[in-house]
Amino acid sequence: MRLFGKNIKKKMQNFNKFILLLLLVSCNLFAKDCVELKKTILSDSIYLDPDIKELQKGIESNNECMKNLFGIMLYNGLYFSQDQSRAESIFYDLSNKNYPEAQFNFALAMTKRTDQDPHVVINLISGIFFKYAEDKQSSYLSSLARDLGRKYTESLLSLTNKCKENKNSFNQCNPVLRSISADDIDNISSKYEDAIRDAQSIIANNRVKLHAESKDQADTLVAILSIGIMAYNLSSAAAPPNNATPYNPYKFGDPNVINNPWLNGNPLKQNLYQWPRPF
Amino acid sequence: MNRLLFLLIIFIVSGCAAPGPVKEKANNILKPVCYEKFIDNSLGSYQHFAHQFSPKVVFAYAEDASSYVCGDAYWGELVDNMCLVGCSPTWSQIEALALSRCESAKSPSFDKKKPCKLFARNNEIVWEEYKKEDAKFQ
Repeated sequence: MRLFGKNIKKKMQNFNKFILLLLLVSCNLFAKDCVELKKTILSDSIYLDPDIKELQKGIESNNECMKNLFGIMLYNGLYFSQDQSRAESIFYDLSNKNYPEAQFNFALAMTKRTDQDPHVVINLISGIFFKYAEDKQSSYLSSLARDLGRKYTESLLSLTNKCKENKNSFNQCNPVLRSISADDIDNISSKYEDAIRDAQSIIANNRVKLHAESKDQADTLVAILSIGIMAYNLSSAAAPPNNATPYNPYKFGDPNVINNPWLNGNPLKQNLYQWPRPF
Repeated sequence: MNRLLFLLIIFIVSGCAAPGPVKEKANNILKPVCYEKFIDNSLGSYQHFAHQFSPKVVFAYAEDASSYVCGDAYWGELVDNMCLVGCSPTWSQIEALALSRCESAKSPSFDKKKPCKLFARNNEIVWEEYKKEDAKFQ
């Protein structure tokens, strides 16, 4: 009886542990992940206290996605007061850690600045386009980068005008932007398009090559498998399983026996085959 | 019976055709030959692939003052036959193939300032969509 009581106590303890574990798991399930949080904050513009706490927790634990989200919020002045230079430095730090979205965000932030050399910005954008085209997780950034480059080249004239309009900040403008002409913009644009065209051709060729090679390999594999199956079928037909009825070509009158002596080796050598058959 | 068969044929054929608004939008942008190519629903054509289960097909287009070109690509042309998971190419890779085909269809006299651009992903027309709104942080 005492032994039985002990077992129940043990079982209860295990059950308590299980409930605790379940609670912990369910708490994590209720906590929003970064992608969800990003959607709530950026797309729906909803700033709930638990979400902001989650964001802070993520930033403290060096979660790159959360830091990137914080950067976006700072840049646009969402919930926090606007601080574009701090946001840019967050994007820059994350870019150096190879975080894809931050690299795109850093490039986007650079396209809005007048103190950047357009050639450098275009180079950065083309690099992002090429880098992420084959990346399953981040390939969408590649398409976005291609469009961003076009948009940037189209905005160069307005950036120059911005420099000229504001005489106080004229000296802070990049020298290339200060004196850029329509021909220069055309030149930058056509160089960018050439770069994109070349990159596209490399990306397409790489994948076409992979497809062709994998098709050859798959065809070879199928051919080998077919030969293997054929060989197996032939060998299994020639050698019956051990528990099968031994082949007897002379057992006439039994409809279940197939009288084909050739399947059991050369019957002529075994001197079993007689012609004409003794019906 | 014949009527049923006729209805079935109509259903199958109309099932592969481009939706009305898509056709209309495409007709406003694409020049005749490319428009025909885009709405073609015969076997192995753009609309045939656009109506497959989980489709991934891309149409690219460019035009200058005197001529126009287009190109398309679908995921089956780029699939990795030797992998078990994630064998499908990325959208960017399919786009790259369609755009490369479009570029290679250009004649030497084609205006170099008019690059081939993405016209549609499946039946979603994205022609110069990037111009309409500002780029967003990701």
